[in-house]
Amino acid sequence: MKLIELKEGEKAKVLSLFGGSNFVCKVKNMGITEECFIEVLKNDGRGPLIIKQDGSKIIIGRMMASKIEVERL
Amino acid sequence: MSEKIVIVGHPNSGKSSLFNSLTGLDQTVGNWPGVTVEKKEGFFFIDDNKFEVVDLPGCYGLTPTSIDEKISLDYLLSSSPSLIVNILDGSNLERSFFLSLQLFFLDIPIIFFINKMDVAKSKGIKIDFEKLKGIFSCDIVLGSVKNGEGIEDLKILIKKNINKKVCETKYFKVSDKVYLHIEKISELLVKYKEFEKHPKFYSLKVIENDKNFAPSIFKILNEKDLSKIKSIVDEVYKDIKKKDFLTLDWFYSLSRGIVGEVTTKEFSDKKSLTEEIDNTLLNKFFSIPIFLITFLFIFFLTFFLGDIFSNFLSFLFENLSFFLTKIIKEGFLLSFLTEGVVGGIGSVITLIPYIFFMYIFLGFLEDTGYMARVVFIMDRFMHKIGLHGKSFISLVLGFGCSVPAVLSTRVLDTPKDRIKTILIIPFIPCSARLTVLIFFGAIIFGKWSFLVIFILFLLSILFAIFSGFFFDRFLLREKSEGLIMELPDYHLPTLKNLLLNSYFKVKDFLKRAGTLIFFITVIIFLLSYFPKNVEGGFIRVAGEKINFLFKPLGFDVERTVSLITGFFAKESVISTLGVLYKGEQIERVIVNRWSSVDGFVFLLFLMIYLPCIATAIVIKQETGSFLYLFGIIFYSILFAYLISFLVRYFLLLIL
Ligand SMILES: Nc1nc2c(ncn2[C@@H]2O[C@H](COP(=O)(O)OP(=O)(O)O)[C@@H](O)[C@H]2O)c(=O)[nH]1
Ligand SMILES: [Mg+2]
Repeated sequence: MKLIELKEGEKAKVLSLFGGSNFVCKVKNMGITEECFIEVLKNDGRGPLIIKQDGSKIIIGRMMASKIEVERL
Repeated sequence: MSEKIVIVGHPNSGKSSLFNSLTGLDQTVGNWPGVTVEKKEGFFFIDDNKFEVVDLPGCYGLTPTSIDEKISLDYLLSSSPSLIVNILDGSNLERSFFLSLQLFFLDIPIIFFINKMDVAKSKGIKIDFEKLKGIFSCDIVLGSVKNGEGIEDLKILIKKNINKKVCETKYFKVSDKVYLHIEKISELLVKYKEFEKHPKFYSLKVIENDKNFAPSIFKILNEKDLSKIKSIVDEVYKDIKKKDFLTLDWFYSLSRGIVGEVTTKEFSDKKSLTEEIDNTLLNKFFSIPIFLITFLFIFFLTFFLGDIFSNFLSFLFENLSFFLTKIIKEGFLLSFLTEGVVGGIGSVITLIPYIFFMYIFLGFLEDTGYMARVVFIMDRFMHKIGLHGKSFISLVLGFGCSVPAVLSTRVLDTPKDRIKTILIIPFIPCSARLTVLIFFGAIIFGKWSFLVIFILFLLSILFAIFSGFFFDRFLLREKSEGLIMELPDYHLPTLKNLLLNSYFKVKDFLKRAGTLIFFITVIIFLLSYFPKNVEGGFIRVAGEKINFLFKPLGFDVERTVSLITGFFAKESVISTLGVLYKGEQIERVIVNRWSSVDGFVFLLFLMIYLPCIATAIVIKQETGSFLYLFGIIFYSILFAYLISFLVRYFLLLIL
């Protein structure tokens, strides 16, 4: 499933990133790498999501979130 | 002889704060990722040794995705500093080590300063210092810049480490084959003078197949080395699924491993204070009303406080003119002093309170961390004009002054995003335009002025939005890649930081715009005084020549001339008219000569036409092209004229 489909409070494991190298680089620089664990803090069904990864919170736009494949835990 | 050291760390790790406490030269301390835009340099002494220090823009790693990060990497590669002070965030070490591990590949001596230990403690994070020292061979300091802890230790270690050894970590060697391959490639690369300073870094880029580096590296290599290197790279990817930027995954897994080994965290189920606050401020239904009320309140306070101080300053300047009239009586000197000098300085000085308070409140929003929330809230609206939430911050800064707003677009990731945002900024009503509005509004519309100003303000914002649509549909159609940024925890800002921040911004304004406005005023005065036999001087003659262009909008010669000087600085419209309506009180002339429709149309035109010269200069500088500059000049004049023309005839018809 896609990151964008996760609901608030759900945890997931990142499987893969679909996009150009600039996209992959940007997402990985923020700590969202393949195999890492994340938690969705906020997903209103519109506007960006807020996710938690390790100690930090990240705002991620819907367009980017729809290019990240995850597995719900 | 002084040694050069650089401070490197990710956004918000405390680089600028450390820079300030080392050099003693206080500067802006911000809270949203990427606030350090300009390169800041300073120096300090340890005993008798002088050290130059550079505060680099924040970076997450060495694969740059924004101009800020590119600036930092280019600087590290080209300037060969004697030492890197790598500042880490003790409350978020995974992220910090991710950068640190990459810095090792530069072959530059390094010291770790692990900052924000006070925050780490309050989060229940414990760091095992001995274990950490066992992993890295470089010197490590634990501290907190905010509380002044660790700074002295750091200074001693800086002196000791200059040009010393390059740091190692056992982690690279034991954990993965990748590092061995990198060493093999760098043995080949080190023979080339282009790569001899940072061979391991370039090897890393070869393995990553980073498009910014790999092709140009391959071009330099001779055939034998090239084929050797290619076979090493194939070796790396032999057993694994090919992934983009595999090394970044590797660095993250290493840094998670290190954090797991050296830190312990008390488990807590309680929601953090930041999360509690965000539950309200980012609520699906309340977030927008709260945002609007916050900004309205800030505007109200800025103008309320600004008015008080500004009126007082105007009063002083009026008295000064009065006093001069008493002692000099008449002649060129009197006109020059009262109209040129006092008028010129006065128009600059009375602006300062507004700018100062505007920056205090914007700085407050930045430092608390609310600005990052504004990005979150505004993102989906910004998508409508093909941008994303980060651009909104630049637009908000535009309410203060277009120049820093244009500069702030450097944190945006793609050139298209930057250019689009930069082209919209000139249409955001800046504080200078607002002052002009307030000045004329009060004269022409009396007690209704606040309503008229509000309408003009809205029209101008509507036009900015329209321009966004326009550029998005017809000019720069490529969609933005989307938003990703860190959401910092809330901080309580310190008054000292806020005051210093605003102080430097106002100083910058005075230096940049202030002197310009002053000189323009003096020049306008001279041009309107000479030649003496012509009433209104040279400038009036020139104004009469082009006035026919503006006749359809109902502008008189004086207003036409003031539009020209307004290009140099928008506020100088006031002082120019003051000088041109010679001998009479400007208020009286305007009341007698301008109808309210005239006044409204003139102000509308002023809001839209031409960016001021300082903005024009940075637009050229940041877009790197005269095309955009002349494009925006033409576009703004065209639409200012069209809109003013239509509004004028519409108003004349209905009133
Ligand atoms: N609690 C705490 N806050 C800090 C410390 N150092 C910096 N800060 C805060 O962290 C924020 C970012 O600092 P700044 O120096 O602008 O970071 P930069 O982006 O790396 O230049 C500011 O609000 C600082 O007040 C520290 O040791 N402890
Ligand atoms: Mg900074």
